Formats: sequence, C-alpha cells, structure tokens
Amino acid sequence: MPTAEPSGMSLPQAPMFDEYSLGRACDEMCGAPGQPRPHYAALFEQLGSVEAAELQRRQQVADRAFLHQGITFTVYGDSRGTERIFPYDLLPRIITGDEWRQLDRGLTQRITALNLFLHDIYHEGRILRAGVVPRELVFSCPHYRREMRGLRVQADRYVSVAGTDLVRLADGQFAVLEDNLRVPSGVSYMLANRAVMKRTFSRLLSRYSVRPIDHYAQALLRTLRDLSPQGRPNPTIVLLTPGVFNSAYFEHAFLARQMGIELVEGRDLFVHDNVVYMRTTSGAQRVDVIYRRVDDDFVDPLAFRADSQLGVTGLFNAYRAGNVSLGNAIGTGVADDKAVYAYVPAIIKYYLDEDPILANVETYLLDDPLQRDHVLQRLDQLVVKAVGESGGYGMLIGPHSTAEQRAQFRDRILANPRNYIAQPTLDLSCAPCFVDERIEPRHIDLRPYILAGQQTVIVPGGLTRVALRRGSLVVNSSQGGGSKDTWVLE
Amino acid sequence: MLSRVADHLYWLSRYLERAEHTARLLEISVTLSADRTPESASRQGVRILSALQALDAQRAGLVDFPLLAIDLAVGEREESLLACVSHARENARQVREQISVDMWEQLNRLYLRLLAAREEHGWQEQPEDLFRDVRHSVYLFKGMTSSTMARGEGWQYMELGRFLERSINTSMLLDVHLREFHDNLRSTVEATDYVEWLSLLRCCASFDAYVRSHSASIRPLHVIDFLVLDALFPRSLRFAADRIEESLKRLSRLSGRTQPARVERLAGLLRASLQFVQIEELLHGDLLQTLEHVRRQCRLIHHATYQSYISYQLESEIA
Repeated sequence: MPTAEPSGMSLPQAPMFDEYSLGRACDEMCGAPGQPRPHYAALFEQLGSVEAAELQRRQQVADRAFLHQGITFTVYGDSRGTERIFPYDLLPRIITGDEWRQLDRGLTQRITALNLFLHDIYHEGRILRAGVVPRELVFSCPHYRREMRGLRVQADRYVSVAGTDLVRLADGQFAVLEDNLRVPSGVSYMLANRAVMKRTFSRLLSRYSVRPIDHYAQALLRTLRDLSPQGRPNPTIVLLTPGVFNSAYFEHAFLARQMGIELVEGRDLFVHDNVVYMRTTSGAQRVDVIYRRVDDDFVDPLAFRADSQLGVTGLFNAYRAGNVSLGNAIGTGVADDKAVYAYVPAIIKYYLDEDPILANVETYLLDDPLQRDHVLQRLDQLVVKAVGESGGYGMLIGPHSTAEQRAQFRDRILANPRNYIAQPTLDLSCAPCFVDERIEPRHIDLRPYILAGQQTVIVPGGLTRVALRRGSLVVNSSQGGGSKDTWVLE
Repeated sequence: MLSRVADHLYWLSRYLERAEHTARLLEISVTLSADRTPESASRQGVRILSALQALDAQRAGLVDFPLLAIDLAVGEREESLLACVSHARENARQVREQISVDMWEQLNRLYLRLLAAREEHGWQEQPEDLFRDVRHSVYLFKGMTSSTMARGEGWQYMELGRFLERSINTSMLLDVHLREFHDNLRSTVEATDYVEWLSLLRCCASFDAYVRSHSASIRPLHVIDFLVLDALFPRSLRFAADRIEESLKRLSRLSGRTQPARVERLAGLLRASLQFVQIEELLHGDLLQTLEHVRRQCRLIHHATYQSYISYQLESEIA
C-alpha cells in the first residue's frame, strides 16, 4: 500500500524539509534522501533558503488571484452561493525535455491509433473480424453509438481533443492510466496555474528554461478549423456549453474568449433544413464547427435523451448531413471505456504495426472467469473501477476499503462483470507540495492535452493533479484533490 | 453578436447603473441626515423607497436611518445593492468571454465586498464609507469598460442599458421630489427647504455642475431645468435621450438590419420631446405627466429593441 509513511531519512539541510521523507513511490524531486535530481536542484536550493512565512504569503497571493478571477466552483446546496477555489499548490512539478519528447511521441502514437480504431468500429469493423478486440466488448460498451454506424466524420477525425491521464510508477516510468476522449476538461487550470506561477515564482521560472504553453488556445482553434465541413474556408466556430451552472463553465468562457469565438448555449442555436444557425442581433448566422462541451447524451433531444434541455433539436441530422462538424465526434467514449483500454496496446500494434511507446497499467477484465476469480480473492489489494465512469466515482480502492465496501463491490461485479475492471493499487509518484507551512511529498498524476488536427499538437505540460490529503491516492478535484503548475524543460 | 449576449450586456449595465444610483441616494441621505430634523429625515426615507419603488419596505415601515440604509445595502430584497450587484455579476458571468479580465475582476471584487458586508457589521458604524466604495467601484468598472472595450455592438448595448436605466431613475427621483415640493418653483428656496433641493442635486451627482451653470443660489426652476433639459450634463434626461437615440442608430448600422425603424422612431420622439421644449412650457403643463411620459417611452424603447434584435421571431428570419 503506497503511503508517504516515513521509511527514509529526513533531509538535513532545511527545516522546511523536516517532514519530507521518501516512501515506496518514486519521488519526482529526490532520487535518494536529501539528493535532488539535477532538474530539481535549483528549486530545492531556493526552497532551502526561503522562510515558511514567505511561502505562506505567496500562497495567499495565488489564492486571492484565483478568487478574484472567479476561478471557483459553487458549493451545491448552499443558498447563499458560497464559492470555493480549487486548491492550488505553490510548487512546480518539473519534467525534463527528454522525458517530454518520449511522452509526446507516445501520446501521438496512441491518439492516432485510437482515431483509426473509432473509424474502423463504426465502419468495416476489421479489427473485430480479426479477433483482436472482442466484438461483444465494443457493442456492450455504454458509450457505443449505433447512430454513428457508417456516418462519415470530417477527415475521419473522431477525437480532436483528448486529455490522457498519465502516472509515473515506482520504477520511474510513465504509464497511461486512462484516455479521456469525450469532453476532457481542466486545460484552463493548466493555463491559469502558469499565469499565477508567473506572479509568485517569476525569478525561478526564468532561471529554468520552461517551455511556454500560452499558445494552447491558438492551437485548439487551428484544430477546430481543420474540422470545417466540406473544407469551407473561414468556418464559423462556436463553443457549446451546458451553461453557467456547469462546473466547467469558467473553462468554457475562458477558452471561448482566448479563441475569440462565440460561447453558445443550446438555446442560442437552431436547425433549419439540416443547417445549424445561431440567433444573433443581425439575424440568423450559419454555424460550421461546434466545439461541444456537452455530453453525447444531451446534444440533441431528438436523437438522444429526449429530456435534454441543453441540446439543439435536429443537430444530429445536420451532423449526419455533413453540414456541421462536432469536436469531438459523437460516440468516442467507446474508445476510452476502461475495458477497451486493456486492448489499446493491441490496437496500436494492429493499425500502426508499432510497439506502444507508453505502457498501459496492468488491467484485469472481469468478464473473464479466471481473471475474475483472481481479482475477487484480492479485492483488498486491488483498485476496482466501473468502466464507463470518470472523475473518481464508482471506484473501490482495496487497501483503503472496509470489508462492507468490498462485499458490495463483489456483489456488483458478480451481477455485471462487464461493467468493472481491476488494476493493482499503484504507487503514484510523489512531488513536493507546500502543506501546513511545511514541504511534504504528495501523490500526483499528469494530464496532458492532445490536439489532433491535421497535425497532432501537444502543448508541453498539462495539468498535474495532486492528492492533497496525506497518503491519499485520489487526485480528483471532487475528492479533495488540487493541482499545480507543470514545467517542461527545453 | 449573439442575441443572448446582447441581452446579458444590456442588463449587466442596467443593474450596475441601478447599484450606483442606489448607493448615491443612500450615501447622500446618510450624510445629510445630520442637517435634517428626525421628521424630515424619515420623510426623505419614504421618498428614497418610493424612488426605488421598494414599496413593501415602505409598507413595513422601514423608513428610518440607519435601518433603512442597512436593509437597502445588504438586505434580502430585490432593490438592495447586494441584489443589484449580484444580478450584474450573474449577467457578466454569462458573457465572461465578452468582457475583459479587468472588468470581471473589478465586478467580482465589488460583489465579494458586499457579501462580506452582509456577514460582518463593522461598516454600519459609518455606512457612507461602504456606499462611497460601491459608487467608486462602479466608476472604476465603467472606466475600465471605457478603456478596454471595442465600440462595437456590445458597447452600444451597455450604453443603451445604462442611459435607459438612468432616465428612469432620474425621472422617478424628480417625480417623488416634486410631489412634495411643488410650491413656489420660480422663487429662491427658503432655508427649510434648502437641504431638500441640495439633496436632490447631490442625489443626481449634479451639485457642482449646477453651481457652475447657475451659481450657488438654488432655484427650483433652475434645478428642474438642469436635471430635465440640460444638453451637456450627463445625468440629465435630455442628455440620456440623446445617448439612447445615438446608440440605437449605431446598433441599427452595426447589425446591418433594415427593419428597426420603429425603435429609432420611438427614440427620436423621446429626444425631440426634451430637445424642443422650454422649462416655462413644462411648468405650465403637467410636469409629473412629462416625467411619466419619459418613463413610458423608455419602456417602449426597451421592448422595441428586444423585438428587433433579441427576442425576434425566428420564422421571419429564414425566408
């Protein structure tokens, strides 16, 4: 069980590091107690000479910046509308240039193969006939959309924007934990974190050669432009948001402003003769590309959930007619299903004839009786996840669970084995964080954002999420997680 | 521009104008209350509530300072400063991609300040400080808007909202004032009423401008002339009517639409009714009716604008 229990020696140099001890997990900063890795040396040195009070002051500057910018979420059930900021950790997470280049190649390879996979399963289904991926696995996926069978997607680009979760394991290697291919969020926090970093650690930032990330919005706009239907020049691109009550609304507004495109809600759009228009002060204006931040289920009450208030009636027909493009396409969730995930290395091999550059995490598929028995005997050691869920919901973390919870999951698995997978409890790597006026290690992951247009662009960095509770492995913001800035060096 | 965006920018601006107006009424009334008898202070309380159309507060007898000031600042009512600023902020939140980061942060800070004032009561010792801060925050917001926003449709909708709201506010304030002080409008005011006419001028942020234009001798005739018909003073009804007409002309041009003739005609009528009339003619006629006419025209202009640009029939668009 990976915790930050002290098992190494304390670092001698600075009182700030009194509580900094190395556990079983890989530590991003130190290879051995008191021995920073070369790319962390400058940060380590600076932290050794700074007062806790000074760090506390910078933390306040950062927190106030988030509060004033309104980068907050509303606490539900509070009629007085209390808004909280997402916790931000002051210290950067640093990745070397060499490591990044490998991640970049690995993620590009992965998204390329997954786009080919999506096209294939919604058309000929060669990979199913070849028996590489089981047919039932694909068709039983809750996010598989029959409606997409044979539908031609602009440039065959199903996924334009992905946010892939990576973890660094105890051996120091990165592995993919999950692919988010539907409507991944969080990129605005990546950008906001960097902006705040420039206000709190500007000198350190310029001492390191950190690769910039500010061009994300521009790259996203180019990716969306590449989706222009029938190659129409100067397409009108809009961002479709569920609205101001959505927890990611800040991000939607932020990206729309950065790209200079309209932020629309379902009620701003209407469909006439299979063409999508928006209602403007100058009358109806045609829309060509929709970067939609609304789930498949809700985009069109006529085609999907009839009770959706967020969608546009008739949108799917316009899409089917090829008059409008959606980023991402409908039905991409089948490729980030947690059971399909286990087949991604085989998918890469099948379409690209290459070995995967980034490893998967070992995964047990529970509709296989042998694997299921193995897992049911070891529920107290493994992590069990529901295949269609995200955000840290529907999860059992064996070592932190009670006998009652394990019994519940056993019943659920036996009732619907296809709906669950199991993985070993991972030793997510740790990075130094400023907590309670001290610097302590906390578990982290990394979500880079992949833009797959005519070229695949990955802005160097991503969102590093932090499990701020000591020993916790859950980095999701809904479960007490925070985030920190991510530096990729030249 | 999206019709919904126009709608939000318009109301953002209206609510902030209303917050500024309310803050100024409260600030001036609190400051001048030392110069009034308790009885005339509570009559001023009644007038404020009537001007803000806070009728249920009036019924509840909330007419005495400082209770009234606290209630109108952070109380649970639609007319409170907190409610106005919250509405402004909600509208801004819907169009965050349209307004600059500075504008949003300024508005957000104002909101957080009022939220804090609801929880911590220290400010109630010296409430005019809070009201001044609110007023200054709105000025700052307008300054940022003026120096960061392109003069496109969005700007014109904000202008339209501001001046429609201002016209209604000023005309309501004059209305309640004249219902009480309607005698001897042509002579110089007596000492007892001096504070009331001074208060009216200051509630319209117009004392300095009035003195420069008419000298320090306060004559009701001149005050009304100044607040209704002055062409250069930015809080007069005439000035607002000019701005409303100008914004609507520009909106019509910017949108490239041909049919908004009705709304432009309404705006032209309002402007002409204030441009070609003289104060003597107003005093001969029914002054209160003139003020009511201004408010009615403003409401008609609001509806016509929405019909032309914002909530028009889709069927007429797709021919």
